[in-house]
Amino acid sequence: MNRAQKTARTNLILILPGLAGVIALWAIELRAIAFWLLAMLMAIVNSRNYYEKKSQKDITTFDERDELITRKASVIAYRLLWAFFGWACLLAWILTSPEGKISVNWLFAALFGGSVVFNLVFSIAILIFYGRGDKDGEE
Amino acid sequence: MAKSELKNEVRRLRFENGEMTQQQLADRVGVTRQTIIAIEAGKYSPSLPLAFKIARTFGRPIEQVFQYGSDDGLKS
Repeated sequence: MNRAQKTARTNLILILPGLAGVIALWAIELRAIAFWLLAMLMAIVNSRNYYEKKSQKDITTFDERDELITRKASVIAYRLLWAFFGWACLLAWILTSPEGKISVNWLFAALFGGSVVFNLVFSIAILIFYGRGDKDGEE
Repeated sequence: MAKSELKNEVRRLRFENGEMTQQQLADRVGVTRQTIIAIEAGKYSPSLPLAFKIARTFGRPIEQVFQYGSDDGLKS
């Protein structure tokens, strides 16, 4: 398992339980805590991604195949991110009607929800594209 | 990743070249061992520069290392 796969796996381990926690807190009306948990979760995930990209530049840990897989995963994640934003806007419009109002919380939820969608889809796509990984083994 | 139409002799040539390991080949051509595994399994088609590097490592012309699987659709 290479660095990209490990990062993707760790992201899933962080995001999925974190998201379940956010939804549970939201459901029991602890919305402020749910927002903070979501913001902290995404700050941790995004900062980890940033620092891991900056490290290990001297040895070959990222080559043309990794670049191709990362690019494909990014394209899929960006498409779904835009679909999420589109639906977030449409849903607000449908629920409130053209003359209605929405809470500013909606913007916060769309921003961090978009970050969750991007990281979640990117991580899953990375794991799928690498396939069996090291199970092929040295021969 | 999808199975590529490019066939190759990388595995055989590694063994013919002093039983070179996948890691040794990867280090020589500047990629990860996973990429060599994927190329040998036909799961990944290398770029032209990488294909040339691999062929040069074995001291063979590129067409002896990599072969396109089908001639269908090629015009003479």
